[in-house]
Parts: sequence; C-alpha cells; structure tokens
Amino acid sequence: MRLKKGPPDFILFISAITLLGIGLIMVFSSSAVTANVNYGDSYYFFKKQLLWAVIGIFAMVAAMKLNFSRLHDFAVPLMVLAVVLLILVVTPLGREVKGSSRSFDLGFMRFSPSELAKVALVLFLAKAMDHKLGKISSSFTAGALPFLVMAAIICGLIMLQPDLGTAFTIAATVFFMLLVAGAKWSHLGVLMLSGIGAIGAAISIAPYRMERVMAFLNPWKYASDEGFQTIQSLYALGSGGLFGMGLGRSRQKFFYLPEQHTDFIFAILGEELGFIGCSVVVALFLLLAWRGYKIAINAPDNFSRLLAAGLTTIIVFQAMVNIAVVSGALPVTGITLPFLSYGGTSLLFTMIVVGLLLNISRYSTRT
Amino acid sequence: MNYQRLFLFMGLILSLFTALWGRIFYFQVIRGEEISLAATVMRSQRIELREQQRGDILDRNRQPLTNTNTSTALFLSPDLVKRDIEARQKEAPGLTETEYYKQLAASMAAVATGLSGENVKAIVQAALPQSHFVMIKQGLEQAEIQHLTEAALPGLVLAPFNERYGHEGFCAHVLGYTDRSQEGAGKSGIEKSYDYVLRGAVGAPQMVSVVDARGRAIPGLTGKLQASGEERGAVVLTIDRRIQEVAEKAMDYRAERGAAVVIDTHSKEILAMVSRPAFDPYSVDEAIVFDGRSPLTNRALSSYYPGSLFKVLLTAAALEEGLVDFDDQYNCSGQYVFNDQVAISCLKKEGHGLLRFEEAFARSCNPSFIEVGLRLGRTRLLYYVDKVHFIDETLLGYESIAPGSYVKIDGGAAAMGNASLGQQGVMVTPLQIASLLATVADDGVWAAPSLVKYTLDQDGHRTPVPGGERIQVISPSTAAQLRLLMEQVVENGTGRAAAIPETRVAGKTATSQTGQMTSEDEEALNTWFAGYLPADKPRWAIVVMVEEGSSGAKNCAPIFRDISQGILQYY
Repeated sequence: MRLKKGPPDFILFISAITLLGIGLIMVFSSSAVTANVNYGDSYYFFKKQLLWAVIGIFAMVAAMKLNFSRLHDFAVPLMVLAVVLLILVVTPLGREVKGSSRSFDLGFMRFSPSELAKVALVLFLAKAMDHKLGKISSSFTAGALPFLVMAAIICGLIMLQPDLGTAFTIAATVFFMLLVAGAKWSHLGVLMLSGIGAIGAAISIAPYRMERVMAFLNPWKYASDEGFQTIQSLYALGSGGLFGMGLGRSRQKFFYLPEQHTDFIFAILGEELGFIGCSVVVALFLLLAWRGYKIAINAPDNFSRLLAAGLTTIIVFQAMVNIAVVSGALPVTGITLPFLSYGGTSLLFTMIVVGLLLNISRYSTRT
Repeated sequence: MNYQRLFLFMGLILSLFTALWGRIFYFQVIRGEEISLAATVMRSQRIELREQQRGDILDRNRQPLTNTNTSTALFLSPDLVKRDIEARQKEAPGLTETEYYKQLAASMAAVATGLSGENVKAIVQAALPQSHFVMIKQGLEQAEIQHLTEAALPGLVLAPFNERYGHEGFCAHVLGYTDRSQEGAGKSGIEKSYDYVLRGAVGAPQMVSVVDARGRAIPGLTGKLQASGEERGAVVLTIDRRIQEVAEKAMDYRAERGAAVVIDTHSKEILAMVSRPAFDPYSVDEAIVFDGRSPLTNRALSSYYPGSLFKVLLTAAALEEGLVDFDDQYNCSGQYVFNDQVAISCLKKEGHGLLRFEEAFARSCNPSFIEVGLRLGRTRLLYYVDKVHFIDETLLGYESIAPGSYVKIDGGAAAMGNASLGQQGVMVTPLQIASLLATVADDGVWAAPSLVKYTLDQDGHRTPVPGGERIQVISPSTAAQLRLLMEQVVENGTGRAAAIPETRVAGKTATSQTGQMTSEDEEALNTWFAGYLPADKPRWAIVVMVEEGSSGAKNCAPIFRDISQGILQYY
C-alpha cells in the first residue's frame, strides 16, 4: 500500500509543544520549595523534567518518522515487553514508593512500565481489532471478549502495583476503542453496567474506599484526613481567582498540597495563573482532542484510525480525570496530567503518542 | 468502523471538558474570594497575645490600665506538632508518638521543667480539637529565648504575651480581678461591675503569620501583629494613669496601710484611688488567707473617723448660719470640760490660750470647735450633713458600694462635742472627704463623684456614664472663707508639712482615735491630710489617710506633697 505523504498536523504539534512548555515552567514553580527542602536544590525536579522533555522531543520526532506502514509490526513485541516489565516491576526489582511498586530505578533515571503498557496496548488492540473488525459488531465472544481479556490482564497486572488510576484509564480507553470499532450498544451497555457493578463491589468490600467516596462527597467534613488533598487543591484553585497570584507565588506549594508537582500541578497552576491560565490549558487539551480525533476520522485505514482514536483518548481522558480530581469532581485517583505533571516516563510516552499522531496525520485522506 | 460514534465521543469529551471548565470557573471566579480567604486563614497561625480574651480597662486618656505587662512566652501548636510527628514518621517509620513526645519534652526541659512526655502529649491532644495554641510558659528570660530560638523546634512559637495585671497590683482595688479562666469572669471591682462589657471583647491583638504546612514562616512573609483599630468591649475610667502611678508610688514609699484619693474639683471625676496594702491579683486567695491586713479592702471606700476633718463641715455649717466670724475669740485651756466625769482634751495639752477662730482652725483647737458645735446644735449640724451630701455614697459608674458611712449624734453635750471633733458618731470614707474638699474648692458646688466615663460595647457603641446634677450646697462666700482657713492651715498651722515650692496649697490635717490598740499597746491613730491645689484656682483635691500613724502632719502631709508635685509634673 502506497500512501501520499502530507505535512504533519501543525495545530496538534503546537498544542503539544505549548503544553510541554507550560508544564516545564509549572514543574519548576511548583516543585522549587519542596526540592530545595528535600534535595537542597530548587532545580532538582526541573532539571530532570527538562532532560526528559528534550528526550521526549527526540522521541516524538522519531515516532513521527517511523515507517507508517510498519507501525503494526511493533504491536506484538511491545506488548510482550510491556507484560514482562509489568510482571518484573512488582518483583523486588521494582522500586517501592509509598507502598506501590510502579517503576524501575535505573540509577540515572526511573522507568514506569505502565506508561509503556498504555501505548503498547492501544497499538496491539488497534492491530487486533483491525483484523477482527467484522466480528466485533456481531459476536461478543468472538469479537469483543478477547480484547477485554487482554485489557483485563494488563489492568490486572497494573492493579498489582497497585495503580488504580492507570488501570482505570486503560479500561476506559479499551471501552472507547470497542465503541469506535463498532461493538454493539447492548454489549457496551452490559460492559458499562458490569463496570459500575465492579466499582460498587470494590467500594463495598473495602471500607477505606467508602471513606474516600464520603470524603469526596463532602470534603470539608473530612478536611483533616481523607478530604485533605481535595480541600487543599480547592484552596489553591480558589486562591487563584481570575488572574492568579502570579507565577511562582503559590502559597499552597509550601507543603500544604501533597503531590503538588505531579497529580496536583493543575491546582498550583490555577493558584498562580488563575482562571485565565486554567482556561488556556483546558483549551489546549481541547485543541489536542479535536485534532487527535480529527486525525482518527481522516486516517487512511482502520488500523491507524483505531490507533489515533485510542492514543488521543489516553491523553485526553487522563487530562479530564486529572482536572476533575483537582477540581473535586472525582475522588482522588492518582492520575497525572499529561505534559504538565512531573514524571519522566509519562512525559516520554506522551511525546511518543504525539509523535505517532503526527505520523498518522501525514497520511490524512482529507485536509 | 463507526464515524458517527467517533463524533459522538468527541462531543462527549467536549461537553465534559466544558463542564469541568465551568466547575473551575465556579471555584476560581464565583467562590474565589471566599475560598481565598479561607485558605489564608488556614495557612495563618494565630496566637492570642493575651492571657484573657477580655476587653481593656482604660484610663481617661485611653491609656490601658490592664494588659500592660508584656513578656515573651512560649507557645505550642498542637497542629504543627501533629504534622511534625507525621513527617518524622515518614522518615523514620519506627518512631512512636510516645518517643516523639519524650524527645519534645526533653528539648523543652531547659525552659519548662517538670514536663514529661505524657504531659506534652496530653496538652497536644487536649488542644487539637480547637487547634488552639497552648501557652507553655510566660515571662521567658533572655537566655531561655535564645536557647529556644536556636533549637527552632517545630511546633513551638515564641510571641509577646500580655498579662492582664501587674503582680504588684497596680490600680488593683479599682480594677478588681478575674478568675483564671481563658475567658475570665470578673470577681470584683470594675472587672465585676462591667463584666458584661469586658467579656468576649473583640479587637484584641493577635499575632498572625503565614506559615508553610510544617509551621515554618514562608520566606518573605513576616508575621503581623493584628489588632482592629478600635478595641471594642472596653471601660474607660476617669482615672488618670499617670496620677494613679504617682499616688501609688507616694503611698508605697510612706505608708503601709491607708488610702489616697485624687479628685478633679470641678468635674468631680476621680483621677486616682489608691488603697494600701496592695494585693497581687494573681494570688488573691493567698492574700485573703495569709495576709491579716485585709489587703483586698479598698480603704478609699471604707469608713473611718474623720477626726478634725469634720471641722471643715462644722465650719461650713457655722459660717452658713452666721454663727462664727474669723475674728471671734476663743479661750483654750487644753481641755473642754462637760461635767465632773467628762472632759475632752485639746491636741495641745497646755492649751492654746486666747485665739481667734481663724487660728483655732489652723491649729485644730478642739475646745474651740466643741464650742462651735454646741452653738450650732445637733439638728442644724445634721441638716448640713445632708445638705452638703457629706455621707452620700454615690459613686457614678461604680456598683453600689456599702462603706457604712454615717453621722449619728446621740443627745447630750458630750456626744455633740465628740461628733464635732469627727470622732464617735461620724464615719466617712476618704472619698467622701475628697468630695467635701471638691465642694469647697468648687465654690460650694457639689456633684456626685464618678469613676467611669463611658463604656464601649462589642458593637462599638459608646455608652457614657451620665454625670451627676451640680448643686450649690453651700454659698460661694462660705466656700471662699473655708478656703482662706485651709490656706492658713498650710501657711502657719498644723499643715505646714504639706507646702510645696511650686504653688500654694491648702488643706486640713486630722488625727482620729480608733479605740483600738496597736501591737505596741498604744491607741491606734488614723491620720489624715485633705487638701487641694493650687490654692488660688483649685483643680485637684487630694485626700490621704494613713492607718496607725502618729499625726496627719507627720504621716499624711508628705504624701500629699509627693502627689501634688507628681501631678504638677504633668500639668
């Protein structure tokens, strides 16, 4: 198959680079205080993030330059690699932080296999669904079920770490890919119901989860313990007002808001840059979503269409959940904000996703 | 492949993002100000810089009479301690709370001895629900402050701290005292009468500093002393703090037991009111139980025999009735004989011999005044006692006091004679004498003395204490004559010791018998000096009374002199 190669999607590129830039500034601003106290170097996190950003840009360009027609060849090897690494990370080889084992410590850097797994799974599912496209819309067992099993294995491995947030993102992405691939509404409905049922069951068997839900419903009442993060996050957002307190002038980053440079970086952004700053970031993500799904719609074949839709969903969904958590619309789940949150592997794969989307955009059938 | 669904999903994403955007708008813009304020409060540490959340009692110039003692105190923040425990446990998971508290207690040991780990734990746990700062120790020494500053223990804060009273008992009899609770309940004095005003006052100073979650000040944001412009919930007295200080100093220097009152002769406002011995408002129970001198009694409002000071009233009545003239001649043999059994002696045992009324007053000749008293008679005397409000107990702005003053004269010449000398049958307070002097100094106009000017309630409303009616109780000419007589007392009579170089003063000495024996087995004498200054244009009347003295000239006139000179420093 020969395809005409066009220019990559410029708007997507600009949105991604802008988000990356904002992210770098915010990582520095939000982490400087804790970095100084804990590591004696205000630039500690910023320097690492900057390095990863540079690596990420190269990775993005590389992903963009990959041979489009050979993309599906990566699906199986990457999937195998991801599964192996996901297994290894919960062994003593993984690095344990706060009771979870989510990354390998490679000395000069850390690597989180679940970031790889997200991209690998989307790639793998795109390839597999492309092959079975006809069956997805007819039979549940021959169509949707194998993908669900695959996704369940990956999610299960990630839950071993445990990392509920990432598992949730993956589940949602798989659901959406099935939806786009043409699964029956009845099947999707059953899936959704069983998902809700599973969440309900998970909450009812573990009282601490119930407390989290209660804290989420009424954070002010639980301000000192379970609702603490949400409250501190809302304090940060609210303090920002329309124009923000000014870059670098967050008060909440002085140890009040935990995970201020990772999961809650958006709250610090809201505090320092106000509603205006938040709106810019939200707009950039919307722009990204629009271009990403547009790339999917205009993709030259079903594989790249599913791939583009899945990859876009990973970023957009994560962004949405993160902002929802920060603004108290969802319970605290531990999901980072793509581009902005501190975290090397996450940034690297986000940039790879952007690269892949740009790659696909060059073969758009319509402009 | 389903494009429709892709569009559908895009629409879903778009609407969800829009909803989130709206939610952010709600928190940042609509509720922004409110949340911002709450966040600021959350990040601020507030330390009550006062022992009690109670309004101030102020002097006439709005200088505080309470909360003037400031020392550095050590506070403990239960929240910060709790956070520090959590942080430390993250670093060293083996650390138990018990161990932590033990360490904390040990590091405070240099300053606050006798605190065990359990004590500190109990303090923290008791204070956690209200997250109040707890004061560990007040009145820190310089070395202790340095030690604590260097140790920089998390959860411990140093701040200036106001004690409500001075331990020396400044103005204690007027102010009264409160119980030791945080809120404070007035137990006596102004504290009790105006408890409803002083309780739960607003605008008390607090230290506010913006801190990080570990309780350390955020660099560049220093602590602020916060107090609203006008303190509300305050009582403003007529007392002048400077004059009160002068009077207390003078009394401390020269008298063990007694009282002094300074009153504005025209406005009848009390400028100073001292009673000795003083008491420590922080050790009231000890004072009651162990101090046999009844230090809590306000002697300025207690009744005594006025002795010769009664001659001022007697003379006023006699002058009003036209019964005496300055040039009338009296013959003093050293005693006044009523009959075979009863005779009253003069101060001068050998007698003054022939003397004019003016001289009799200056020298306080007893037989002469017994004669005046008998000439005036019981009924007319009692009429004037009433008319000049001699035993009026009104003290504006102060809760009804019961000093038990009276003038009761039995029938018979001897009783009348005794009463004329301000002994048996006459009991008045130093304040009542001050009021009488103010009447004389004010051309015979009487008005009830006052102690409180106004109150400021919590809402900032000023409620003045209404002044009393001004009544002409003796004629201006009688008052003028009395002033001439009192000037003579200081110029060449018994009160020469009261004279000061700055200005001419006038007054009257008195020494009264109490009928009680001192430890040296002599009859205890209460001594007085009551006067006013400047003699030409009186502004201040001063009454000094010293218990167990030898004479008014010796014990009280010097105190009068000290107070007068102290006042003139300021005016």
